[in-house]
Amino acid sequence: MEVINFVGENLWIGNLGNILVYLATFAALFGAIFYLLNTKNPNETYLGTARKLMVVHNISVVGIFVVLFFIIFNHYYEYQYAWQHSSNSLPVYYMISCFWEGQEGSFLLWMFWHSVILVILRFRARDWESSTLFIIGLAQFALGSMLLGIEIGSVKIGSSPFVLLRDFQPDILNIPILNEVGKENYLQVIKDGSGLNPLLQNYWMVIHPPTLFFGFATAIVPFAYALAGLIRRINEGWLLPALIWTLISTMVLGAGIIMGGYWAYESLNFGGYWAWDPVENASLMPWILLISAAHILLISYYRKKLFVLSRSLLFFSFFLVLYATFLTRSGILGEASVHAFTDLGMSGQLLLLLFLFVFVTVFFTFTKRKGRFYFTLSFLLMIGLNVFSSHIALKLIDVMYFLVMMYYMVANLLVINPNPKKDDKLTAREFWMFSGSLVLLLSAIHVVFGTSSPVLNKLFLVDLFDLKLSVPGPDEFNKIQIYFAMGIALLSGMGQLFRYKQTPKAKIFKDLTYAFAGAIILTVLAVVGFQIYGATYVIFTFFICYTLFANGYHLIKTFKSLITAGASIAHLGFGILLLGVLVSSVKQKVLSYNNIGKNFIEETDQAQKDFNKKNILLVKGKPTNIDGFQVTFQDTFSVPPDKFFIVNYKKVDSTGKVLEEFNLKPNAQNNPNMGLVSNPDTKHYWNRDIFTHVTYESSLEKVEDFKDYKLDTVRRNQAFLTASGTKMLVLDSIVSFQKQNSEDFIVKAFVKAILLEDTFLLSPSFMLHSNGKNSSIEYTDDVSSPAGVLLRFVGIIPASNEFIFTCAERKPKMDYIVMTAIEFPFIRLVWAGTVLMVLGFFIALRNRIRQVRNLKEDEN
Amino acid sequence: MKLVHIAGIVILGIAIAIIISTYNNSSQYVSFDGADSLAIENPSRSYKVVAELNKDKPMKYDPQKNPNHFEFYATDSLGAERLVIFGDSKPADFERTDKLVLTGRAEKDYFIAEDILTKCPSKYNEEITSTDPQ
Repeated sequence: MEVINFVGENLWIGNLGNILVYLATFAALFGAIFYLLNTKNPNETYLGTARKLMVVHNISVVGIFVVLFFIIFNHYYEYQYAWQHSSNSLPVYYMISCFWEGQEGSFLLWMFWHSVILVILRFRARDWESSTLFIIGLAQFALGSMLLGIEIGSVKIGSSPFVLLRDFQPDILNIPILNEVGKENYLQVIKDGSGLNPLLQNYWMVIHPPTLFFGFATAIVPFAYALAGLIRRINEGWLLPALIWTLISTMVLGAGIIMGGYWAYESLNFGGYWAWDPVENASLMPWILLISAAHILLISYYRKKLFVLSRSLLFFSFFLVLYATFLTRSGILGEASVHAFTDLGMSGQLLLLLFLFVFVTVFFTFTKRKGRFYFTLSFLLMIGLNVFSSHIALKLIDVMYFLVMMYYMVANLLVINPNPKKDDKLTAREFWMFSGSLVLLLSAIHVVFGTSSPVLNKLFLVDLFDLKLSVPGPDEFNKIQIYFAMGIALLSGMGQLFRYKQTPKAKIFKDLTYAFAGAIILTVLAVVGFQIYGATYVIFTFFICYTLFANGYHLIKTFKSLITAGASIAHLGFGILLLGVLVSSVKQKVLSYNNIGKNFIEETDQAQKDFNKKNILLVKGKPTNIDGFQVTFQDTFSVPPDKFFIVNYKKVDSTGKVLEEFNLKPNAQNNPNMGLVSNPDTKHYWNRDIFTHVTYESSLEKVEDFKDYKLDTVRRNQAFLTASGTKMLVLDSIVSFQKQNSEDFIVKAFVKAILLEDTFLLSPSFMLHSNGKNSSIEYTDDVSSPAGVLLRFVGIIPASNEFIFTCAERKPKMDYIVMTAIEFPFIRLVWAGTVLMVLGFFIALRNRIRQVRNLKEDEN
Repeated sequence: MKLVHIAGIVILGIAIAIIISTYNNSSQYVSFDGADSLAIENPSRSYKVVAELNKDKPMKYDPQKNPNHFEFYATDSLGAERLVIFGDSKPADFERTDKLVLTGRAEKDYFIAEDILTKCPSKYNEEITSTDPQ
């Protein structure tokens, strides 16, 4: 093999990056081991070593981040990551977005947040430091190994962000132009990267992914506390810190999820904020489970029970975080999601990552050495079998083994914390919180299983039953989730009215009477005000009104200080969110409803009628009536790389008076990598939004050539026809003038082209160019696109006062856009509700942190 | 029997019911021929077909006649070809897609798509020659 000395590469920085990846990964592993040793036998040397290793780890993680940013910032396109995810024209503030476009960058971001958490816990966790950081250290090792990028035989471990372009795509050295400049000079050719996905070039996409990843990253902390409590055989001490971190995680993850929804609504074209896409579901399922866990943790903390449920929910929340990572990063959702996936062939490693933590968790639920030994043995056996075979029988055994493992996990936990003998009373707050948490659990189960069909297909459905199921669509999810939402709405308005342990009957009777009476009045107002029809929706409205009124009533009645009002505020926010979801989806209206054209689909029911008619054609300059508005596509303008369409909305009364007028400017970006990427524009009223989105435009059509040339000799005001006879031309007038400061003489004709009811004006001309003795003639043709006519003014016959023209024609091509307009009523309730809910989480969090401080002061 | 046990059994029961009903209602991936034969059993149910756009045959989208009607030909993994009618505008950059996931149902001799998921060739396989050789 020939050795090529490549010119202009900066190899040192990639080597540095790779060294830092190894350092980070193995420092985390050994740090975790020393932390575990210190948990078992507390020892200054162990602790000191672990801490030092973690410092090395954290510095390395930050180092990797800086190195990768340096490569992107300096446009070192010899590196695959920079070439693939950035370009010369990318503004600096979007360079950070390159980190989450690629898989390696996403893992890096996740590791970075874990590092932040490592530092916080190192100084705050006190006697929980070793046991919790052991688990997070292990996670850092697992994530770091995703970045190693080593190949042993056919096994690939991790994918390095510092891989060279020419190693990743060896074909690059074979492009023809390199034969001239030489392969060693390939960087002279690769001057620009392939660019960042235009959808990510949006300020929401700068803050949404890091927020979401921070939410994902924080989910490990309550998990670590729950497991640490198990390792240290401490039953209660872990509850409060776990609760605090659960609240942090739900708050951040909740904010991250809705930011994604807001971004999708403002800049994507599917017309909504939630599509039940598997990728969205992947972040929703751990969130729902964490909220459920937060409530059970409260019961465990105040009533010293349900420890098994608390622990299990936190375990499963974290498993779901890892499972979500597997779903979104393994490429298994390829046929099920609108999101683009890059399968780096690491699904095996991602599964190992998931099962490493399942293993560690189940391992520590065994309290006896013997149980741990046999479990480890069986687990290693299963891993071994799966490495060497993928037989269908083995897959079924895998499923069984997983179920048995989960059974042992819960059974072992029940041995450690048996259930209390006494039951909850119906008048106790914990009964209602418990019920609400179970509904949340059911809701999560539905989302998990619905989103898992691609996994089940792969596991056994296709092989055994020749069946391949899809992920349910939005309607199918909504149909079932609406009942969970009803249950959660009702129960979130119940618990607040009760006290822990027991509530006096008289008090609860009075409160419930008030709450239900208020809810009924509120429901009547809401149903009439929002015009909600249909029994299911009215009942749902009632449950929402109930939680709004009950929580509002409780908040006002018991208000002492803001810091204890977190729960009420979060519940109120959730109620408002549900109301917004209900009204904006049920009362959503397609304004651009359109009956033009033959409908191929037999109209069997209303749904079929709506489908197939939501786009409307707007010809430039021609006002068109849609529901309630007169809309006109006025013009286009460009702000590279975007092309904007000015759509004028006008509300006119019967006398022709303009009541209201505004312009919307949806845009489209013709991206060389992505094709046409269009962004909607939305008019926001206080009570509704008008969402406008261009789905097609005339410039996407191919232009035909002019044909059927025809010569005519005509007088003024004489009409003549094009070859097909569909367009009539009338010569209106002729002007002639001498060009300034020249001998040139210009003759211009004004001709009307009439096509159906429309008239277009054409003005072809010719110029007599005289240069001494030589004279020449120069034609300037005129074209009318909307008429589809080309006209040339050929000459004049002065004797008969006649004029000669050549006309040609093609299919008329108008400037137009195809547009969808949708009205979303009261969508602001969705955003407002979320903000309030997140605020509620924050206040509750502050309250718990205050509680911890008070506890510490008591100890001192 | 304690409340927790009853709750556990109820939850398990509901969960199993939901899972079964979810999988019963979610549409299957089938071939065009499969969609044809299933349409006879239940004409209103929709299915998913993974297909490739047939780039040799013409696509038809004339928004001036009907902006909600788009026609093209697609070939499924078994090689069967169908005329597909989509009651919406032509999806952006349709010519470049190499894989389509069609949701819809079979009708007489065409396939009615309610939804089309387009999968463009991955950026990894992109032609490197598109890089500007300045």
